[in-house]
Amino acid sequence: MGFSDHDDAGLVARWQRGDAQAFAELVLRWQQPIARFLTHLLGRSHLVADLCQEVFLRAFEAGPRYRERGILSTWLYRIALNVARDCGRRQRHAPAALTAGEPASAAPQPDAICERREADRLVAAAVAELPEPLRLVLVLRHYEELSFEEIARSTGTPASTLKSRFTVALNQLRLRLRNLDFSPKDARS
Amino acid sequence: MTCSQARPLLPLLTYGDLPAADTQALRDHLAICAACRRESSEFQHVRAALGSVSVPAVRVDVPRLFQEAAARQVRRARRWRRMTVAACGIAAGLLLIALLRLEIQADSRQLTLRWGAPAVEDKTPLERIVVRDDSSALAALDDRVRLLDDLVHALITDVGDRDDRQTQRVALVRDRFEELRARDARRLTETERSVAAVVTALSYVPRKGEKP
Repeated sequence: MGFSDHDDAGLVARWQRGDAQAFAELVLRWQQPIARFLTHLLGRSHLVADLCQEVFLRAFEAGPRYRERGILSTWLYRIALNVARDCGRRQRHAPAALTAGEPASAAPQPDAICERREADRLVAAAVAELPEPLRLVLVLRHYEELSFEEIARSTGTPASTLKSRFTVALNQLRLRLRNLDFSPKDARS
Repeated sequence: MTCSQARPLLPLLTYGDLPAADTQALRDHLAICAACRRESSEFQHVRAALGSVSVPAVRVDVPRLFQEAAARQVRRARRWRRMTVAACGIAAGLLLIALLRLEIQADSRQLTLRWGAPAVEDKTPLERIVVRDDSSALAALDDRVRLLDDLVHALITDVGDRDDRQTQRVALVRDRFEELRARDARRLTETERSVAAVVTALSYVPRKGEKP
């Protein structure tokens, strides 16, 4: 996560007092984590920019009702999850595999880029094929590095259930990638 | 720890989500089990592969977001206003219908509430007699009642007279009938006598030398 909850709380307090700059700072802090979350959850990188905009728009509109009961990230992820589900209902088809978007730091070599994009596509396709409850816990645990207790607060699902789902998700992913002949060397790290 | 116990824990071990005691037991098992060690290695590769997926750089347009929020607020207010107007219109329509179909009559002694279409006028005499609470109507009613009372008494008297006259007629007819019967009886007696005399006369046979 990388951001201090204390700082978030201060920014939220300023924002709720009407300081638009505080909201802009919150957006700056959280736009990339939310984009990452939506990208992995939906498997459609081309939609992510618009959905991010929608997430923060909803957050802005709901700001006066936000109370400091939990941490900001929990609230934002919950909004993002609702936005993703609304998008899924609108799209009405299975999540598409990720097309390789422009990475935040592009590699210079064309061959390396092609190989990496192919690897990205395979992994993203495998993630996208997971059922939504499994995909959600995988994304929040792996990409957002939330603990199971934090995920439980975000989703309202018991931590023990989340652990079981995470185990199933990772196991399914392992088998899918094995079937896709995804070799360990394909991984970037 | 057995393999069947160890394998479900491998994903959690990969992410460091196992309690210390379980972690140690699992590591001990991995040290002696090549199959579980290979599976654990696959999970590590999966974790590495997941980390390789790139994410597009996203920049939320905050000024546009503020504009959209304001526009949505305006749209929401407009929609709310429309819904309010529509609801008021519907309520007014319902009220109008209710008032058109609801008839209220208030007199000094009664309050009449009637819902629905006016009742079809009934032509029976009873319906025509409407009790109205004013002095002229009461006086007219009294006159009518008195007139009806006089008519009833006159009818009773007339019927009595007619009855008496009919009784007298019947008596006369009866007397006449008795008189006729008596006369007939007398005539019958006289006729019988005459017949007897004729029969006697016809049946008489004079004796020899006797003159008829």
